[in-house]
Amino acid sequence: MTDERENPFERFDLDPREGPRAITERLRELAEDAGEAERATIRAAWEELTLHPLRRLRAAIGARPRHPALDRSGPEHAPPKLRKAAAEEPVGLADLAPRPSVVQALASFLSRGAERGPKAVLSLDEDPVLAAGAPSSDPAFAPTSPERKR
Amino acid sequence: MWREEDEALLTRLTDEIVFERLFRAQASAGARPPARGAGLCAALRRLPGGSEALVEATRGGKLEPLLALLEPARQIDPPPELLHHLALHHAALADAAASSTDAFVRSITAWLALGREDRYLRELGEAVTGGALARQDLDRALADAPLWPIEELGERARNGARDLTADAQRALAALGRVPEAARIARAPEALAERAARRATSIVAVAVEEALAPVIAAFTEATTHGDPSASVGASLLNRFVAVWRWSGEDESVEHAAIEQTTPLAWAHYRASRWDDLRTLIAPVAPLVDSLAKRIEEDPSQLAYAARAAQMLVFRSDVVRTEQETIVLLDRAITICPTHRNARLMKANTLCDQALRLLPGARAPTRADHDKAAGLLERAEQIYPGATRLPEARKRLGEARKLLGITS
Repeated sequence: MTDERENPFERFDLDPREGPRAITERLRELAEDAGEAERATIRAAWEELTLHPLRRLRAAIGARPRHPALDRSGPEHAPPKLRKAAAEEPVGLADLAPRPSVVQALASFLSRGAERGPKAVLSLDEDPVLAAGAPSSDPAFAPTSPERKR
Repeated sequence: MWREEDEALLTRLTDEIVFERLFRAQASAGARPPARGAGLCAALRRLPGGSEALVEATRGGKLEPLLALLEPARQIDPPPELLHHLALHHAALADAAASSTDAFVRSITAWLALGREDRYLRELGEAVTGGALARQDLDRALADAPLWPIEELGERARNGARDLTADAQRALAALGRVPEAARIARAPEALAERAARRATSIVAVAVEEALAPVIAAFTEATTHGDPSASVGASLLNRFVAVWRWSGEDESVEHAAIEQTTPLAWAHYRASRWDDLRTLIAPVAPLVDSLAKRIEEDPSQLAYAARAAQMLVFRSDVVRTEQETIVLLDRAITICPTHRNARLMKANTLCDQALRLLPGARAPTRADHDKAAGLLERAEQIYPGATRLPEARKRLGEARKLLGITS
């Protein structure tokens, strides 16, 4: 109850008042986009919240009530055409940092990136585009250290 | 066109920005604010002065007015959503800051205040369980809900008990302040009593858990005979560590005295006074604490004799007669019928009288009168005192030398 990271309602942005069916639907949506590890976590949360009403109640009471404006301010309520306006005041670092709601919205996207693992990200040397254009040895732009000059 | 949805988005994002600032100011600059924490700002906005406090926090970064609203003790009948947020907000701060017990206490205060909000909890409970729980089970769960954080604190305390961790110590300290939290929360009497009882029993379990390895070590050390005074003292120091960790819990005092007494008797009977002094020195604060409890509540008779005996042991190894008298008086105060304390006190008075009565020559009349008074007191305290006959005899000789006939 004291650890918001572990509270499944907060972690998966679920409204406890919506009941097991809505919880199931939301978690199914999340599971579809999730990697294997995250899917197991989602399944555990689903079991916790839908199979045990007392545990669901306990988790619900341990979850912060949602912001009252949340249901009227999601992406689906964005205006049809967004206009770009110049900022009236200088933008500070705090203004650039993602808001918690944004971080949460990106969480599943970021976790998918993490699950691909570091090996999936090519280094510059392995980049096929760069590799195709580079000479096979002693490139023209190689550093000219004293040793190399000899 | 500025739509209602735009206003809702602006409000939410403003609340998120303010909450971030607030949380980082209260926890630490690098702390990650909980995702739903901004709802706290929405709840604060509905309080008198809440909107103004949020505006100040948004524009000028001035958080003081907002911080004042976060104190559960200052709220008079706050909305239940705010209590719910405050309970979880202060719990999160307690985790993030990890320094004081106050955040835990504020959290418990808010939970117990939420216990007054039957309607809010019931609506939430019914919506969440949707009839999946039998009525009586839901009733029981909702009645217990404000106590769940107390149980969680107990789990923290138990988990760190054997290693006497700082986190467990904070949890214990917060549990000790549950009655204070209930008072601030103006919790219903029945809820306040249940909360205090639950906290007391949880503390007892955690302290027992902390004592278990110490008692096991003591048992192991005494299996093959009495340990030396220094080994005994180092084992007793472990009781002292548990006592300090537990916030000077009385049950630790009982356990320490129970383990000390047989070892102290062994040194006493062998007249090993230095060893006795070494052995009992660590537990002196525990004995004094227990004695104070008994002085303040004379109905606590169960441990009076044991505590008195520990004071008598100490009276035997202190350096001055004045210290001896003070300790024996205290022993008699907490256990008026304690034989050893009365005997020792009577003998000490006899010794004082004997020093006033040289024997071979006449004392001054003043010394005679003083000695007579001391022996009268000794007789009242313990008529069978071993040194009383000799002192009486010496007093009689002094009377003859002084020519006192009556």
